[in-house]
This record gives sequence, structure tokens and C-alpha cells, in this order.
Amino acid sequence: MKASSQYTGGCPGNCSCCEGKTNIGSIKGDLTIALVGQPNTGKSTIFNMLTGASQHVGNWPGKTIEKKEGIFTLDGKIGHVVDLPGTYSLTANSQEETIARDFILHHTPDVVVIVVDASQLERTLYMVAEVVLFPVPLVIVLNKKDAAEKKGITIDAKKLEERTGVKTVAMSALTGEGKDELMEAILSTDSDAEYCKPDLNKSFGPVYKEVLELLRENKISGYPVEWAALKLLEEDKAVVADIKNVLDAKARHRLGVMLKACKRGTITGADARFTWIKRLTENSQISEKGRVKQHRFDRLALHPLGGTVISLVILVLGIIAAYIIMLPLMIPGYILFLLAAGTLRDVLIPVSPLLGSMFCDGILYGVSAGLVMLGFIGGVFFILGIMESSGYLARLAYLFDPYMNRAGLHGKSVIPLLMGLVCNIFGVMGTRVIDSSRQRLVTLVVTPVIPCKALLLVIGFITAIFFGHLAVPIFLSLIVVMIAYIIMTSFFLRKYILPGEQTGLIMELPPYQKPIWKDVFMYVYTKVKSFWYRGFWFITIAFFLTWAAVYFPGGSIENSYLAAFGHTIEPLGRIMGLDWRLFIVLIISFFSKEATLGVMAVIFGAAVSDTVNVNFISIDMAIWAVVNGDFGAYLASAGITPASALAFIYAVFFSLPCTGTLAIIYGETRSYKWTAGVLCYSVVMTFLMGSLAYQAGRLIF
Amino acid sequence: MYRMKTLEIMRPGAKGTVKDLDGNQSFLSRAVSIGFTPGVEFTVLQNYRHWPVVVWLRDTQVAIGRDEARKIVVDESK
Repeated sequence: MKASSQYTGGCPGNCSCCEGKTNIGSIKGDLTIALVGQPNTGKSTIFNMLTGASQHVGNWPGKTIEKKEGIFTLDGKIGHVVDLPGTYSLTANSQEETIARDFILHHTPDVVVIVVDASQLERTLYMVAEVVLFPVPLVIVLNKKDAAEKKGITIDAKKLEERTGVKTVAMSALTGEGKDELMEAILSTDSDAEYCKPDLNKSFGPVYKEVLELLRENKISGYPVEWAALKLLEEDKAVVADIKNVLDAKARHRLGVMLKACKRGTITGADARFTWIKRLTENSQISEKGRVKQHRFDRLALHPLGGTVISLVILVLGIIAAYIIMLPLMIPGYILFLLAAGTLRDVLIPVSPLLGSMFCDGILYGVSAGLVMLGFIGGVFFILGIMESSGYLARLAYLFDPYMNRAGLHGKSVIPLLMGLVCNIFGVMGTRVIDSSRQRLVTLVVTPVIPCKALLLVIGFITAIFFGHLAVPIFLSLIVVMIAYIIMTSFFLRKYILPGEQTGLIMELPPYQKPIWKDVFMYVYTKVKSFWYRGFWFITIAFFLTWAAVYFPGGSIENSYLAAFGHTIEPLGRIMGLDWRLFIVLIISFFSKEATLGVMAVIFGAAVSDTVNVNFISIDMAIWAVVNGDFGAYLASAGITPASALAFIYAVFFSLPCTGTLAIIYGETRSYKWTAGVLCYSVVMTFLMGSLAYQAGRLIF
Repeated sequence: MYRMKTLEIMRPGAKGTVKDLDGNQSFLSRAVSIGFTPGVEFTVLQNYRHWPVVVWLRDTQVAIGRDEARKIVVDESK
């Protein structure tokens, strides 16, 4: 490329997209194709269309940001498609933007495909104005051709191609129209093409030339020189730091003076791009300019009160729908459960108490719980996929922004937090809907404090038994402390662990569209797959371990290893005023919240009654135990002081996320550091909350 | 007749032109990349207290937080 004689691309070894690992893709192909585009341009639809079932979803090395790759074949050639994070620009404001541009800069893909929304050409061409400064073969995709035509916009792709010098394909990823043209364009890009670029000379004046000269004199490599000059003037922190690093003191000083002279370069740069866009689109599209079109539904859906009511109705109906849709898939799980609890156990236990108990209580319960969850997750993400594809999710972000923003979270954080009520695993998986990785991580760390339905049952039951009419204020106090906990955790994380600027909401509320089913199914598929590999096996194993700890060596809980362990570490529990029994129950709640009540029933009831057994491990069985036995009475007469009970309630409420959730936290972050961090933090918080509640309880009662 | 004000205090239905943007580079960069550049016309669609401001900008609806909207200086067309 002429304009960048010194820039050859290649990984400097410190870029954000590979962290020095040269093998950046897990899939090999003849051509590497990078897909870029602004949010809502239909980039993922195009990715799904091109790659189909060959997709591999992972994370960018060392990052908590999703990386999607896949392949397509055409004329015997294999194209390896890398879906770069969807961002509005390529200035290093966030990890997403840094990843996208480092990939283009340092891994010099063979082709960069830029997706543009034909129905909002002016705004979405912005990304093209960023990318034309890179010396890589480009293809522009004018997506949503059908939507544009419906709006009365006709776009002349040929004219745009002539003016930009970039191969341009008009298509509709929804209908598949233009797919072949896109593939052909990808395979036939010209690496010597000269592109029409934004006129930076005119916009910035002499300072642009000066910076350019300085960079050329100093033989700056690693960046295309024009792009580097522009980013310097735009005060892009990463580029400024990088270039100042390689310059000698004199040149650095000269550059400093130049940059100081250029005020508000960010605005000038954007202006240059929009001027460029205007020049390109003049007479190449016929549109009803400036027509304001707010969808009638939005007047209600975006109303603070009406919209919130609608959103809650949609969310509740969504969960119910998810359950109903997936019921056929969950039925095998339930059948397994009933078999394990009934017929099978009656047959197996007399033959061999150990094997029968192991099979029914240790294995089948876990497998059935895992299967039910697997089905439910499919349903939940099906509904979430529809909400995302139709454009409604962005409205939720707007509606809940005032609440979430105060806690330093994103408006969309409401989704994982609400899903966490059903199951924390869902909540943690649901953090994927948040676009900003920083806010996503913060949400991911606070989600496990949301009580899942299993935990709510435990808490509700215990507070009712111990505190009677005081249960309501105690429950409310838990909610208040929980909110404070979320706000403080988020504050702590943003201040010390994930420093960065508080970024308020600036987002498009895209026009509503019919959900794109292929996208929705791909979404469900990747989620279910991810749960199958991590959550399912972890849940099964956790159930088995719980069973083993309770069963061995004696076959009953009082003389089990777990009890022995409980006695050994009782002093630790004493900090919170918990005796060994309560402390064990707390530990069990780490393996699975569902087991908590069952184990409690056994541990406190065992001494009095033989009817309750070790197998009350699953939630449904726990309810039976409660209804059938005088479990409540045993508990009440078990000699637990109100202060201890309060401590226990707080400790369980703020206790560790269950093992399944931890496994999914790892699955979502791909980081042992974050997973271990969450684990340690919650251990500390459990003890802290428990001890504080104990001391408070001693004062009150 | 023009009156200078910020986007935050504009009424729904009001039309205006972006005059200037305040704030640090990180905010500026995010705002301009979604289309808030000096000279661009917009229409305010919604502005409820405590909620982000919704504007019609460059052929689409854009929601912008109140703190952010306060940094956008506008000319309101009368």
C-alpha cells in the first residue's frame, strides 16, 4: 500500500487481541476474514449466514469478551471468519474497540468486511471511514436492503463502490439475498486498491501534515502512518502512549506541541468522517431525509411507568413461556427424579443399600436436576434471543438505566439480575447481553448475591420458623442489605479492580424488526452447549459429592465425614454463632442451594425421626419433608438462639455461589483469576455478614 | 431566533442543532461516533425526569444519559 510504506502489519506481541500468542484462531482457513460493524447493523446475522453450524465461540485470549469464529467454503477455498466486537468507532475507549482494531492492525486479516445498515447509511458508514485508513482489502456490506427499500430508500451500491474504491455488496442477511455476491466479493478483493479517504488535510489544516511528517521522519512502524496521525490528533490514549514511547525526547516534545495546538481533535476527526460520508452518499441514495419516525409502541414502551410495567409483564411471561416451550425436554429429567425417589429406590435399596443409595441419591438426582436446567436454559435464551433480535432489549436498557446507573451497572444488567432470581447460573450466563465488558464483569460479580428460587425457599422457611411474624421485617432487611451490598461491591470493583471512566448510556434504540430465527437458534445453541459442557457436569458432580459426604462412612449424616468435618471446624462457625449443624448446612449450600433444606431436615430431624432420610436432597423433596414431618418443630426445639438463627439466615443469603454458578462464572470469563476472586470475596462476605448479623442479633434479641 | 441550551433541558418535540460538546476525550469520542457532531440536526422525542433523553438523530432513535445530555450544547430552533 502506497500510503504506508513502513507499515507491514504483524503482531508486536503486546496487542490486546492475542497477548503475544500468534495462533489467534482455533480454526484454520486459507483466508482470514474479519467482520466489523456498528451494533444493530446485522453483523451477527451475516456471521451466522456465512458460517452456519461451523461456529466456535470462545473468548479473546485473556479477555472476558466473547470471540466468535467460523468457516465457509467457496470454490474449494476455506474462509476463516472472525467476528470482531461490534463498536461504534475504533478509538480505544473500551476493550472491545481495542480488540477490534488491534486485530485489524496486527493480524492483518486477508479481508475486512464492514457491515453497514443501508437504512441508516449516514450513521453506520462511520465505521467505513475508520477502516479505509488501514491498508487491508475491504468489502462493504450494505445490509438490510429490504428494510431500506421499505423506508423508501434506494441505494446505489455501484455508485458507492465507484466513489469509495471499496467493493460494495447490497444484501439482506435476513432473506439471504446477496449472499453469493458477498462470498465472491470476499474472494476477489484487490490488495492494491486505492480507497477514497476522509480529507484530513482540509479538516485539520497544517497540523495534520506536520504530524504526518514527524511520523515519517521517525519511521514509525506498527501503524499505518495516516491512521496513526489521525488517532494522535484525536487524542487516542493508546496510540499517543505508544508513539511517544518510541520517539526520542526531542521528537516527543515537538509532537506534544503539535497536539496541544490542535484543540478538540476528536470532534474535528468525526467531522472529517461525516463530511466524507456526505460526499459519498450525495445522489447515491434517495431517501426521505429527516423524517422523524418513532414507533407508536415506543411511546408506551419507553414511558417510565408504562414501559416498566410492560417490561416486567414481558419478562414474567417470557420466563413462563420459556418453561412451557421447554417442558417436553424437561420431562425426562422429572421422570428420572420420580424414579429415583420411588420405584427405583424401592427395588435397589434392598439389593444393596450402598449402590442403591449411590445410584438414586448420588447420581440420578444430580442428572435429573441438570437435565431440567438444560431444558430451561434453552427456553430462557430462546426468549432472550427474541428480545435481542427484535430490538426490545435496548428499550430495557433505557428503562432501567436510572436504577442501574446509580449502582454503576448497565441498564441491561436488569436482565441477569432478574434471571438470577430463577437461578444464578442463568443470571451469570445472561450477563452476555451487556455490551460493555467492564459493566458486564461488575454485573457478573454481583449477580450471585441475588437469591435464586431455591435459596428464597430456604430463607423464607427458616425465617418463618424462627421469627414468626418478624419474618417480614427480617426479609426486608435482607433486601436492603443486598442492595447496599450490590452498590458497594460495584463501587469497590470500579474503583480498585476495573478502573476506568464512568460511562453513561449512549446507545441506539434500533427500529423493531421481526426476530431473525436463525440468529435466535444460534444463540440458544451456543448457550445450551456452553451449559452442557460446564454447568451440567458440575451440578451432577456437586450432587454426587454432597451425597458422598453425607453417606460415608456410616450411611447416616450424624456420623458422616461431613459431620466430622463440621465438628473439626466448628470454631470457625462459632464466629458467626453457628454450631456444627448449622455450619454444615452452610457448607452444603455451597454445593447446591437445593440441597440446603433437605440436609437441614436430615441433620435436625434425624435424631427424632427415621422417616426423613439423606435423600431429601432436591428441592421438591425438601418441600415434602416440610409438609410431611414436624421438621419445623424439631428446628424450633433444637436449641438455636434467635441471634444464631439470624446469623445463619444472613450467612446463607450472602453465602458462596453454588458450584454450578462458579463453573459458569469460569465459563463466561475464562479466567481463573476472576473465578477465584469471586470465590474468595464471597467466603469473606459470608463470614462478615454472618458475624455482623450475629452481633446485631445479640443486641436485639 | 436561537436560544442556547443543553440537550438535557429540551422539551419533547423540540428540534435543534448540536452546537458544541463538552467533556473529556472519552465522552467526546463516544458521542461523535454515534452521530452527535456539531451542526447535526435532531428532534427530542422524550425527556422524562431521571431517564435518559431520547432523540431522533441521523435517521434513528438514540438514548443518551442525562449527565451526557448535559454536555451537549444545542441551538434550539424556534
